[in-house]
Amino acid sequence: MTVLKAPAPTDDQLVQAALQGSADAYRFLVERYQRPVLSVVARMVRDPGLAEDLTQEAFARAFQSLRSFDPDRSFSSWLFKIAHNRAIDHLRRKRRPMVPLEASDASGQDSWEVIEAPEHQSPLRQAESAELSEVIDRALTELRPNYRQVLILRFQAGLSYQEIADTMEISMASVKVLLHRARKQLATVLTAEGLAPNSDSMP
Amino acid sequence: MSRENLSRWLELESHERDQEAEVALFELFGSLPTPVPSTDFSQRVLQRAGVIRPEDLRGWSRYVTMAALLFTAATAAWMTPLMLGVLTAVDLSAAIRVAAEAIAGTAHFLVELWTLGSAFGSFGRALWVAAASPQALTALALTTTFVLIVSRCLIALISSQRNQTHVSI
Repeated sequence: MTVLKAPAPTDDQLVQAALQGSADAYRFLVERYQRPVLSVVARMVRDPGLAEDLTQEAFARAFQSLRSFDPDRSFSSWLFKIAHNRAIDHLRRKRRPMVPLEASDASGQDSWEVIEAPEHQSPLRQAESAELSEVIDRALTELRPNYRQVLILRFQAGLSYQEIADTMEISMASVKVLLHRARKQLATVLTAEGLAPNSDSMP
Repeated sequence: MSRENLSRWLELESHERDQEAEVALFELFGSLPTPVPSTDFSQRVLQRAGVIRPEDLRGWSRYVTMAALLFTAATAAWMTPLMLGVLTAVDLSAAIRVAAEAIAGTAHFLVELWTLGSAFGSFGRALWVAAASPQALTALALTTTFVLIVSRCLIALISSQRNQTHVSI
């Protein structure tokens, strides 16, 4: 006997249901995008607790602005834009991100509750991944803010060039140029830290 | 997997193989650990958006109400004869007399309190007249300014000491 599964509702269907007052529909949307949005914000602000707070605020604002959402746009890119702007606003208010001395030790341990990579990872692999994540975070902070943003939006959030252009309010040509330069600079920074191709050592 | 992804990406970048490098960078970011939202994340979002009331408060009030009703129902059967016995044992006239004395005592206390309040009021009015003099107002203004300046200096001192434990990145 074949059991048929109902297809998952689309973002548009959920948005329409939420606009008609369905809290569960918006909850469904939140659960669908909470992890990717949180990962983007966390990569930008580098503080797990703060990232979660900003992400919740972004979702709450998105709900309150749902009536102004253009259904011709992608809900995910609209949501990422709100979250991205919240993170940028926070960083601008703080001017420069501050890290307590006791958090900048050699192990670079954050209070992340990490998940495993798509495949099952051994504890050693998990520790390596966490360490590498810290290295990449540090390298990202050495980039220009717009380079950092475009890399996170493209490779962390998986947005298209057009969606990045909408989020950052720049042209698509500018996005391509920024991405190219940002990748080169990130590679330069990581290579300068001793992470040359096929390098076995980690700083 | 993450280290191999990084090495592969750096190698492709160094050889200017842009399209493959982009794919490799996607794989690298995809292999990095990401934070997990808290279990009540969506619930908190809906509360912040004003869609639902705080779940714990609503839950608590419901449980308290149910517990109160259950307790009343459970105790009603044996409490009724007990209460009747207590009521018949009480001398009603004595109870009314005690209640009247309590009310009278409370009223007397309130009058005493009012008298005391009036005395404080008179004292306050006299103090206000004295403080309205130019000399008193000047002294008050100077004292207030001095206290504000000292407070700001202390706050700035404490803040600067705390910031020495942070580094900017």
